[in-house]
Amino acid sequence: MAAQFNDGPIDLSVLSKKDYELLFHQYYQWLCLQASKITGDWHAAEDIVQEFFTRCWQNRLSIQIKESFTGFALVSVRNSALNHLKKESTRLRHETASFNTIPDEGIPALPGQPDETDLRYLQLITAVNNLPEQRRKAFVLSRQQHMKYADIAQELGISINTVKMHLRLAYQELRSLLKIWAPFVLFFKIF
Amino acid sequence: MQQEPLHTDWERFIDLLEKPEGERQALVAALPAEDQELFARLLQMKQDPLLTGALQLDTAQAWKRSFTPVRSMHWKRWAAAACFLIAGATGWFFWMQTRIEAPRYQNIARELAGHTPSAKVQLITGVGHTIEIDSTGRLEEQDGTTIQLRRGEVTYKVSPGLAAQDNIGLINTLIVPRGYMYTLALSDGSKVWLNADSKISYPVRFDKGERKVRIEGEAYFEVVHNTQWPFKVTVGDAEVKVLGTSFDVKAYGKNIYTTLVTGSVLFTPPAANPVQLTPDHQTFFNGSSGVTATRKIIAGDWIAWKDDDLVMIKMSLAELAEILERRYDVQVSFAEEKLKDIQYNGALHLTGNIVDMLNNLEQTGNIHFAAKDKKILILPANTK
Repeated sequence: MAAQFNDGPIDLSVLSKKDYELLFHQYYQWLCLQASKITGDWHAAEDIVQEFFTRCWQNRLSIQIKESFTGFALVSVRNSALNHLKKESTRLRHETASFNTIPDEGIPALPGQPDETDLRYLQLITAVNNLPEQRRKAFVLSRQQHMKYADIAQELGISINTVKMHLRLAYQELRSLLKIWAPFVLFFKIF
Repeated sequence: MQQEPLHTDWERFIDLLEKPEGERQALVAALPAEDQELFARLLQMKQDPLLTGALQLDTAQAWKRSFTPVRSMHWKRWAAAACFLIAGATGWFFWMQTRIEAPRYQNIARELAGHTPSAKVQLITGVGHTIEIDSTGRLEEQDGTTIQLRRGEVTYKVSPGLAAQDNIGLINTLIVPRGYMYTLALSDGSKVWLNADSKISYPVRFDKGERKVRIEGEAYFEVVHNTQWPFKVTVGDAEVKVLGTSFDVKAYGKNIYTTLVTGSVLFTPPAANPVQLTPDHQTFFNGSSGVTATRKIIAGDWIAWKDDDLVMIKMSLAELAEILERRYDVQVSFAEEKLKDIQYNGALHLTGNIVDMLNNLEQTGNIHFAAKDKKILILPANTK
């Protein structure tokens, strides 16, 4: 999906279903990421985001997005995620936050507009999705800690050197978006 | 090695990303300072679980799901259990006449004071060593794998010096006897809570195709979400396949109860078709008849044991007795068969002290306990 929406006021009522699908593709993963930060549960996050898009489509004639779809979507999804969380028991929320791999960044007091980190995540996801298909696949596979380059090569039916080339090009492409990760804390995860 | 105009050695970066942590730290230290910084950011970005999770999502699939008329899942969670006990009696009788050899059984406080479980939690390692776990601290096996023990938990941290391949294939078994419960953290970050009288066999390091463990007894899992790396639990001849989720498997006898809390699992009974589970549902596999049935339940009721809470829903005293036997490593018998049918509804927090527990249960007014060593006898209330 190469087309991108310029973020700004948008009138959903004039969109065709196909256009709406493009919008969905552009924002889905990022909105799920944002929701999962709150819910700690990717399945719940996906449900919340899907429901958001379904609702928006159903109400597209009456929705007015004055500033940007990004901000509008983020606030809606965060609200839903917080509501979902409230319905859970306190203990289960605590357990979910401690035991899964999502870093516990705390629950935002108000579902506000996207900050720099949020936007970087969106840019990164967009950039990865815009990579040529083979490169994108190599990049996504390489994030799995159990996949070595030899494994990726086998999975994609290419040589290890080609895998490395893809990764090198992918990282070079993404380097300008790396600002949000702190440079001085050399944080290495144990695999 | 190719040099970029900015002197960044990308080839080297790519190679470094694949190295195990210990080796990598030393090699990164040898890079020029500015490269070290860039590499550190790159590495963090690569490992960022939020990004990894997001990029795994199948957007096309999600679009199809959203715009097809299927009701979205309704997530229910269990609210904190009320700590009250209501006894509902069915088949409760006054038995004045019969008394079972009373002199042999004494006051429970005296007989059970200082009762402790007879066996210890044991870890049988992949190279055949048996380690008894009764203390906290760090235990190092001779093959170099470090096992970290925390108050009631066992965590595996693979020694940095060890190459990735060295540990594949080593299977450890954790045995949790009656009277104990234990928590284990697996090498992928998933957590397993084991109930009393349970066992788990697991690889010290998961292989890249799938994550597979085997259990006996009862275990509650919280599995790290990874759609590319399925997680499977074998229990007897059945299998539970998982996609990143939390669920409980209970298999003390021939019957298997699989309860889903969040996510999605596929339960495959022996020689039968798989059954898909949604949250707050449970499949019950009858080991004798071979029949599998699914029903809606409140998942929280079935995983309460991991917090040492006992949730009783029309629970017979016979079943309660079995639970107490496993939880405290005692033997329970009934002075009269009719007592087995007394039903309980409610929730209790189980304490470490069995005498307190039994006193609590006596409050219901229809039973009385007596004990001899670790044998407990249940008598009708008015027996002295």
